[in-house]
Amino acid sequence: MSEPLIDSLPPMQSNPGGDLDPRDVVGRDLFIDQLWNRLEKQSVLLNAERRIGKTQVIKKMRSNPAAGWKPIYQNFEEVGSPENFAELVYDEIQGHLGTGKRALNWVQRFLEENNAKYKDFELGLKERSWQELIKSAMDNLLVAKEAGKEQVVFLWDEVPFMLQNILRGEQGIERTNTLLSFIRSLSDKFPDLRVILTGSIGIHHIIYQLNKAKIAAGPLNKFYSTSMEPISPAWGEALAHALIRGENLKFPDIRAAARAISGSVDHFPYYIHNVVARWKDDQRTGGAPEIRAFVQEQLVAANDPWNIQHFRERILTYYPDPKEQQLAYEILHALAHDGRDDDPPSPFSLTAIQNAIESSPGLQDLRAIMEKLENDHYLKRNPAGDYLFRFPLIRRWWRLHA
Amino acid sequence: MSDKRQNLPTSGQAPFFWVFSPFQTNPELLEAIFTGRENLLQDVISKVTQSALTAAKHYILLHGQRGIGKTNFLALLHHRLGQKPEISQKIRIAILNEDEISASFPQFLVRIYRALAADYPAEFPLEQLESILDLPHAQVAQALSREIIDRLQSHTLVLIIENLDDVFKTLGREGQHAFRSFLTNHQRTTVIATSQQISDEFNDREGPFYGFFRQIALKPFSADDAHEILKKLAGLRGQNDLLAYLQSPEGRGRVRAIHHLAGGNQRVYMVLSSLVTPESLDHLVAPFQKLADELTPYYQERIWSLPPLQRTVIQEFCRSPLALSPSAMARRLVADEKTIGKQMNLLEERNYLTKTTRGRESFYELAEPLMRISFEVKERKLLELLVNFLRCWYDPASIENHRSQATTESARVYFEAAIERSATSPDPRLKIFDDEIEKARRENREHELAKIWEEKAVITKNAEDYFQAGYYFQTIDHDFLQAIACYDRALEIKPDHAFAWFLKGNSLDNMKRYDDAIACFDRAIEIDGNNPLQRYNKVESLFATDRWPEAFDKLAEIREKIDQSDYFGDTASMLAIIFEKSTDTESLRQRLEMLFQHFEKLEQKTWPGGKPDTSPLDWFGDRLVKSLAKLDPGRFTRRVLETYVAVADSVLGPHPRMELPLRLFRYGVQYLIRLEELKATDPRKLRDTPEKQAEAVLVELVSTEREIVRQALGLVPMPS
Repeated sequence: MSEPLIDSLPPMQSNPGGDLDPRDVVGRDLFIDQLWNRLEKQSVLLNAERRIGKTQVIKKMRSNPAAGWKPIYQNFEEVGSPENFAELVYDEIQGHLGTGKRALNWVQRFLEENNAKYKDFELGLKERSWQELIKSAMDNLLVAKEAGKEQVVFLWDEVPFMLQNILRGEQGIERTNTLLSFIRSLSDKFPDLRVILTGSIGIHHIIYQLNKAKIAAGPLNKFYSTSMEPISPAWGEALAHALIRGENLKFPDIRAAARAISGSVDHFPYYIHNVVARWKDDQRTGGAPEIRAFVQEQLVAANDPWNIQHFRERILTYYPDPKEQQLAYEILHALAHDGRDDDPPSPFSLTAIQNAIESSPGLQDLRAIMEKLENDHYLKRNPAGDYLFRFPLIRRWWRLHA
Repeated sequence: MSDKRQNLPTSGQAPFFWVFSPFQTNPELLEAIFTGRENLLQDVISKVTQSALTAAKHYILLHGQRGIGKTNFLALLHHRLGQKPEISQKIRIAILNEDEISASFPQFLVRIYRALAADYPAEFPLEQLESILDLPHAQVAQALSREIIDRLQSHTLVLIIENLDDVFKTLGREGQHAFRSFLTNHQRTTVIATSQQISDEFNDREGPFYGFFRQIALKPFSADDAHEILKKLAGLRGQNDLLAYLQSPEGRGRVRAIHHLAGGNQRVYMVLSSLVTPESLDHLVAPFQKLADELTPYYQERIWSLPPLQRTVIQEFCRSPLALSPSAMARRLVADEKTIGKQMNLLEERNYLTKTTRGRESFYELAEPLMRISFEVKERKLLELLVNFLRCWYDPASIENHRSQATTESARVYFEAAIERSATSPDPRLKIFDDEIEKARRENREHELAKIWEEKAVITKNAEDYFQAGYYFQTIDHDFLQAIACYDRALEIKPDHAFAWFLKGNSLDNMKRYDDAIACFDRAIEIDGNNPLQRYNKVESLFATDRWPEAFDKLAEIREKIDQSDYFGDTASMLAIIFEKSTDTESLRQRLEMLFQHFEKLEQKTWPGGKPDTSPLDWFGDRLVKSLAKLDPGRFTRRVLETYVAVADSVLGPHPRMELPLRLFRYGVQYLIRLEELKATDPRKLRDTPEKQAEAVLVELVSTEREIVRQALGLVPMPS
């Protein structure tokens, strides 16, 4: 469906934060088509802000795969070791292939699957076993594909969380690097292998830490890197309209209310669900002006219900260098305070930013931090290459709290 | 789904409520006393239904203070789900109650499995759990996750979890990630959980459950809810005398006073419900102390979890029976007002305080008045709450009686304290009612005012309080019978209350008891002949009873006797009555002419007391337009409406100051005619609603005039 009419979706129940029925994940079809097209050529690294809908998108891909594909979804946020990762991947593949009852002990499985091939496993098990487990599973997949089965695409969710967990553990840097390198090597060994890696923590932060330890750079550079935006205004308004009807909310002008809900939260589906649910739970009344006032309340409330302050606080952990922190704050301050509250974010050229901030950094330093701010979803670039706030909602918050 | 509670004996016995363990209570009893949250329960059931029937899975967190009814809500949810076979066949419910904790995710899964085994033993055999527990520890979580998911088959798992904030704290970040991963990977589980507060676990953007739950605040009981639940409990216990008493203004007033003391804590009312009858007085003190015992650690923990400055602020509120402004609090704490104001704001955000504003100033009070208990337990021997409860629930005379009948020392001590307080300080309910009235006004809860005034009047026996009650019954609730009853009580006490006679007349007029109304207006005029209100209203009642010559004589009398006035009657209603009751053109013309002449004469009158601020003719013109709102076009044919316009044109047309009002009136009537035509049209042939489409007849008016007509017709609100 191209852009919808505002009242074209069926009534829908609000479900902020929950798992949506794939039919209720709207406004993402074009993006999903693009992902399927990209998967024909290479794997994908999907990195986007929390609550923007990454998981809902890949779960929709799981439910409605393109012809010839078999998606396997797994969330790895609880995983703390490469062994555990390998075990989960192996199990899923066996489940997909239907290769008999799943054994509970992965070493036992390894023996069953590979004993004949790896006579020396006792010597090499400690270093190589989990890699071999995955490779053997991939081999099985290859055989299955050659036998006419659909091609598997792995939808690996919250991978940066897993990497961070491993990084924090014993020999973290080495083990993380080994895992990342292994994932890269898989695509060399299995050119048909396709993965969508998703995460809200920028994987570049993990790679940065590896680089600092002078360990491999760009382990995922064969992946197509992409991000996600909120849905279009037309889809946002249609979603809000459907939710209003689904929750039986009464507004003097339902279209105006839907526009106000979607517009005031930058067409973020999560926040659209959230506003509708809160409106119902609080038994609020009013129309578009009251909706805008409600969203503004969320931005200024002392307890920060949407935790937007996190965007400011995480700079301290994302950019440990105090000079970078200072620079990041100055840039965001300058970009936030241009124009009036309701204005859309204004684009700034690199030179304009350089002139707008007090510390007058060199262009090279500035470029480096701009790249980080872009990767961390603070900023984006327009077609002319100028920078602006990625989300107007965050800009509004920054203006209110600077 | 098995429900062992169904076997609890109830018939022939007084119903028993497990105040602290609602899951043990017979669900039929929970249903019988469920109050104020039916819509929310329906909403949660609809979310569970969607989770059971589709791939969508909802995660809901109900949060609120201890004793607010969270567990009651969950117990009833569990019961209702079991009553719906179309849902219960699709789900498997695991209830994780508040008494158990899990220090790790594997332990948490074991709890879930055991809870499922308890209700569905054939599907979740405990032997299978035992064999999984024999595995190496590192493998248990994964094996158990798979076991639960496999054994669910096509069912959705409904996890009902109490005190999820505590569960998360003991699970730790690692366990939380594992739980979220379990939910997300399989998408087979919906979670309905409770929490006493929104802790960082739910709102930290770095945490796994950031934004994951739909957070719904369970609101404290209102005074009406408290009243309702006590009535239901009395009904269930067959306490018909108590039920009748609770329905009286006096009984209502006492519950309101108790609500003021105790706040909206449902558990308090469950305890109180068994204490409000005379026969149980000896058992009064012990349950109250048990309640205090139960709540004290909770409140102490809540207070001690605060930063030091906020803690001192809360302690000060526990000492003060009054709402306090930041400046008053700063004075008490010898601290900077701005700093204290900020802390009070934060405490409000954290649901420790509630705020109301009066003009520019903000006043705060404890969101949970029972928090004072923790303070009193520490500082005093007697629970002030109980002393105040006695003073609110019993008259001073009956407290004296009860003291003499008390058989326990502790009960006697409390009654004596209540008697001593009554001798030295006024009835606490009066202050409570005054506060409640002010608060209801500030918060625009005007619909509650009639009852509060009536409850206050029962204690004060004051004519003015009954009058106020009558006024709100009449003007806000439109309950004219109740209003008349209150005016009668006021007039029994103060027979020369002219305004009570006047408003009683108005209520009677509204009930179309015109002769009785006229008698009341006559009495009011007799007491206060200088007030034009009663005189004009009498004229309106005379119009309504077709006593036209007498009515116009009374208008002449008004011109003669009233020397100063800015009020010229409800002219719009008078015009509407003239239009409605004049069945021929000639009588319509005559009556309209006579009414208009009254205003012309008023315009020319010399006013000994001072000229009116509003010109009488302008008043008439304004009301002519406003009379549009009082014309019911459905009752008249197009021809009749056109006759109104023609007669108005002939009577008022020659007067230059009537040109504009007449024009607006004419267009307004055209709108009403068009509206009726459109309403009779097939809606599919309309491009918009009849109301909006009919507005086309107004386009010829300039925008300011159009707006006046739209306001008069009620299409847009009147400017305040």
